[in-house]
Formats: sequence, C-alpha cells, structure tokens
Amino acid sequence: MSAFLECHDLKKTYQQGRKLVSALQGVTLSVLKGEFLCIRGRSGSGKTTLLNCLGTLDTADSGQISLEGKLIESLSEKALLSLRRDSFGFVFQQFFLIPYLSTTDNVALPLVCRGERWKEARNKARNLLQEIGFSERNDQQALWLSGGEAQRVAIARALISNPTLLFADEPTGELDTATAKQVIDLLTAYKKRGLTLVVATHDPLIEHEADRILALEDGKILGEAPTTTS
Amino acid sequence: MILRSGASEFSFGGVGQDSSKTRLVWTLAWKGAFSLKFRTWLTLIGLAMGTFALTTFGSMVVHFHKMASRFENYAEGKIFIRDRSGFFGAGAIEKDELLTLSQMAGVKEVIPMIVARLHSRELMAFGLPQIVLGVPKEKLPELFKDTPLLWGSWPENSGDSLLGIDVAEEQGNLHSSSFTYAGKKFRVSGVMARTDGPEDHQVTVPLSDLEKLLGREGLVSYGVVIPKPGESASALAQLIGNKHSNWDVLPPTLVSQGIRGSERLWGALTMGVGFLTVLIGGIGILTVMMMAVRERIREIAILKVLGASRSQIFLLFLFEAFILSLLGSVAGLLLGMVFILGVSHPLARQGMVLFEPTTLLIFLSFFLALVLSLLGGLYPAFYGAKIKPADVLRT
Repeated sequence: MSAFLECHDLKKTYQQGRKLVSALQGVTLSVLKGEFLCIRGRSGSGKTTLLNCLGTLDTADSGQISLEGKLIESLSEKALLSLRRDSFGFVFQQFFLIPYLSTTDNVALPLVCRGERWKEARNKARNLLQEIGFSERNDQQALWLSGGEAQRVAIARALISNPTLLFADEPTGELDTATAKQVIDLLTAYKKRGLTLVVATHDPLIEHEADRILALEDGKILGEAPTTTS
Repeated sequence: MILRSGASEFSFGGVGQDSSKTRLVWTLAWKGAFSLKFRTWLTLIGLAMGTFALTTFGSMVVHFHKMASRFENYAEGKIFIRDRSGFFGAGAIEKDELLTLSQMAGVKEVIPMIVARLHSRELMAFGLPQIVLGVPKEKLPELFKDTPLLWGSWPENSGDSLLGIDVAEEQGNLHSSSFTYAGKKFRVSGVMARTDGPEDHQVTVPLSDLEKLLGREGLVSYGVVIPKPGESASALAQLIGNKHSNWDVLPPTLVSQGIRGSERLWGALTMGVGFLTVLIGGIGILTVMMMAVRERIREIAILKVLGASRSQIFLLFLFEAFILSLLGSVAGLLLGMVFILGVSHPLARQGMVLFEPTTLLIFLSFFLALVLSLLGGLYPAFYGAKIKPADVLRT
C-alpha cells in the first residue's frame, strides 16, 4: 500500500527565549490511508513540532512532506489554507475552544470559516454533537464545559468538515482515565469509518488502540514500538 | 461519511474559500466588542468626550466665523475712528473735531456714534456684549442699509428706539411698544431682522438722546467715515491718521485683518483641543484593541488552524474597532447635541450665543472621530492577522 502522508529528513529549529531548540533532527516517516499512527515521546521530544509541520501549521527548516505524493512546499498559501480547512482536523491537549461561543457555535466554526451560513453550520454541528452523544449542553458557553466535555466538543469541531486526516496532540493529556476512555472510543469509532489518525501521546490507553507506534526522542525517530495488538 | 471519492483525498484549494468571509468576522467581532471590559468602557467614554469636544467647539467656531463675517460685511467700505482706549472703553473723541472730517476731500459721510453697555452690571460676554448705540437718526438708513427690519421703521424722532432681535427676544415680546434704558422710556419704532451679527445685540437710539441721557454732550465713542465712491478707504484712513495722532484710524482692510486673525487664532485653539481629545480617544482604541489581540492570541491561532484567512482575522479586529468607534462617536455626538441644545437656549436669552451646530459640522465631527479610531484599530488588526498559529500553540 502506498503512503498517504510522508515526510523525509524533516528538520526544525526554533528560538525559545535565548536558546535555540532543535525540535526535529531528520524525521522520516510515512502514514498509510486509514491508519491510526501513534507518535510516542516524552514532553519536549518534538511531538508537537512534528504534528505542526505535518499539519502545515508550521514549516520545517529542511526536508520534505508529501500528501499522496504531492509536495506540500509546492503549494501556495491559499492551497495550504484550503487543505487545513477542508481535509485536516486538529485536536489539542488544551482543547482551545473559543470560550464566549456556545458549544454548537464552536463546532460550527470550521464550516463558517469556509463560507457556510451560520444556520446551516449550526444544524450540522447539532447533528454531529448528537451523533457523538453530546446533545445536552449545546447552547452553553464553552467556558463552562468540563475537561472531558470540552475535548469531545473539540473533536466534534475537528470532525465537522469531514476531514481525511486528523492530527491530535495529547488529546487525553488533561483528562482522567474514564473521560480519556470516552475520547479514545470516539477517535477509534471514526478510525473504523476510514479516518486516518496521527496522534502524539504518551498515554498507554491511546497506544493500545493504535495500528502503529513510532517512538520519538530528542527530535529523532528511534524506531517502531510494538503495539499491544500486534 | 469519512471516505471520499474522486481523484484526490485532499482539497488543495478553491471550495468556498472566498465566499461570505464576513459571516465569521461579523459574528465574532460583535461578540468580542460586546464582551465589554472596564477598560473598554473607559475608552468609549474617552472617545465620546473627544467627539463631544469636537462638536461643541466646532459649533462655537462656526458661530464665531459667522459673527466675524457679519462684522466684516458691516465694516466693508467704512473707516472706523476711535479714541485709543477702544470701542467699549471709556475713551471718547470730540464730536466737533470728528465732524470736521466731512470737509476733507474724498469723504462722503461722517457718522458720530456713542456706544454704551446695555447692562452696566454685565462684566463679561462671549463675543459682542449687548449695547446701546446712539447714531444721528438721519444717518441710520445709510449705516444699516443691508439690515432688513422685522417690523416697524428706523427711529425718526427723539425718544424712538430700534431693537436688535436678541434684545427684543429678551424683552419677552417681539412687538413690545416700549423699552427702558437708564431710567428713560423709549418708544420701540421697530425690530431688526436676525443678522447673526452685532446688530442682534444692540438697541439703536438717536445720538442726541443718548448724549443727554449719559451726560456726554459733545463727546462720542467713535466715528464712521464713509468714503466717496471710487475713493480708496486705505489712503483716506492714512490721511486722517496723519492729521489726528490721538485717534486710532482703522480702514476696512485692517478691521478685516483683525477680525480674521482673531477668528483663525480662536478656531485653531478650539479645534486643536477638540482634535487632540479625539486623537486621545483613537489612541485609546489602539490600546484596547492591542490588548484584545494579545489576550485573544490563542483564539486567533485556533481560528487560523480551523481555516480562517489572514484577511478574515484582519477584518475581525477591524470590525471590532469599528463597532467600538461607532459606539463612542455616536455617544459623543448625542452628548454634544444635548449639551448644545440644553445650554444654548438659556444663554441666548442672556444675549450670549455660543454654539451654532451645522449638519456639515456634525457629520465632520462624527466622521473624524470614526476615522481616527478606526486608524487606531488598524495596527492591532494587522498584528493579529500575521500571528503564526504554531508559535502560539507551542507555548
């Protein structure tokens, strides 16, 4: 099977205060279509930077990323924007919901970003929230949601555009075990429906569900770690 | 639902990305602007004060400009002669000495006049004070030939008086039959129509009556010399000045220069203060918007992650600044108009007209306040638009 998403010899250095951080030091990996790839690593190992580069939120200093064989660096700013908005979904450890918007509006946001009417976008958002079993507090401001609720809403926001690829950065990092399980179940349910997942984590519960685990340390891929299912 | 059909699984551009960009922008800007914080309220008050200052000071300048223009028209073609102590001071010139000027070549008319304050207790007045003007009654039509009468006729007999419109209004009856000054009852022969000039604040009586009443027969406050047609007023004034060194001889050009000079100075001062206040309001908007951008930096980053374009983020914060600017400007404008309407009527009854708001002025004040504060919103909007999501979300 050919690679869906690939990166080759990816390097990235950034300034943090006065020191230079070599976040990625020649990362090469590939993701297959419909795969659940887990990137395991300690805090500061470069997981977030790798996800940001793969998700086109950041640009690598050198190396190549390709989607279905098409080099990302050859794409215009407009094409990258379209790619992020229509083909990618993003989930973050801290949820990053917009606190003064309602749950529904937060989920509807990506659709409105691409020009859909609020009314239609809200209807789609309500349907999706219902589908993931979250329909009680749709009109409540996101500010008042618990961690588990906020993360499920953030996942719904990532899924509303019907993405091809979902990047999740420590999606269970701030959740208790029971809530984390709910979030993982939600991700795996969508994986079964064909969604490709790239998840950065050090949560064994997530690793348990992954098709493949890559260990990242000091910006380098150490190798493939065995999954519990393999 | 997830699986896509077609040549590529990915969207590399195009679909819906330019349509209805403002839908997102308006909603978020509206919600952002109305989550008003204490500092936002303070900024709004600052901007409102600026617009208020611009409106009120502007209407004062308009009033002063109209008054100056009217006085300039009145002074046109006339040479004013006064004692060196000024028009409204105690200085006086000999009437007979003044009347000798009528023998000079190039002089058409010499009009001696007495000016006295209508209310002796009035210590200060904005613009021209209310006055009683004594003029030889046969000279009145010539002197005020451009001033129409609201009703009645020019004073023709001793004991007649002609009221300016503000004085008549102050009497409470535009058609009152008598007017009392310094214990003497005058018959009202007519009322002048509104001129927006010094005539509105004056009562005109025959010179001889005022001489007797004030006990200053033979002495006048000032004189007006009207040159013959084709005669140069400046050259004639020069000649008179050379002969009478104890007089101030003011040709129309000098009167005009003096009036316009004062008007420019007054206008620059008042409008400068108004403009500065609005500018401070605009800087307030800049500060508030800058803080809003910094506080909501993660929100901006996540919007970009979700696919918001630079222009959407730019417009989002510009619209938010626009909403705040609009609120501040409208509040200031309303405050200014309420103040002007509330204050100007009671003051006008005391002979003090301070403000003259015009539609153009109101529009300009509002527009200037809006533009300045929008300019204040530009930099924060640019700053927000160029934020890189990865830099923000990494921290």
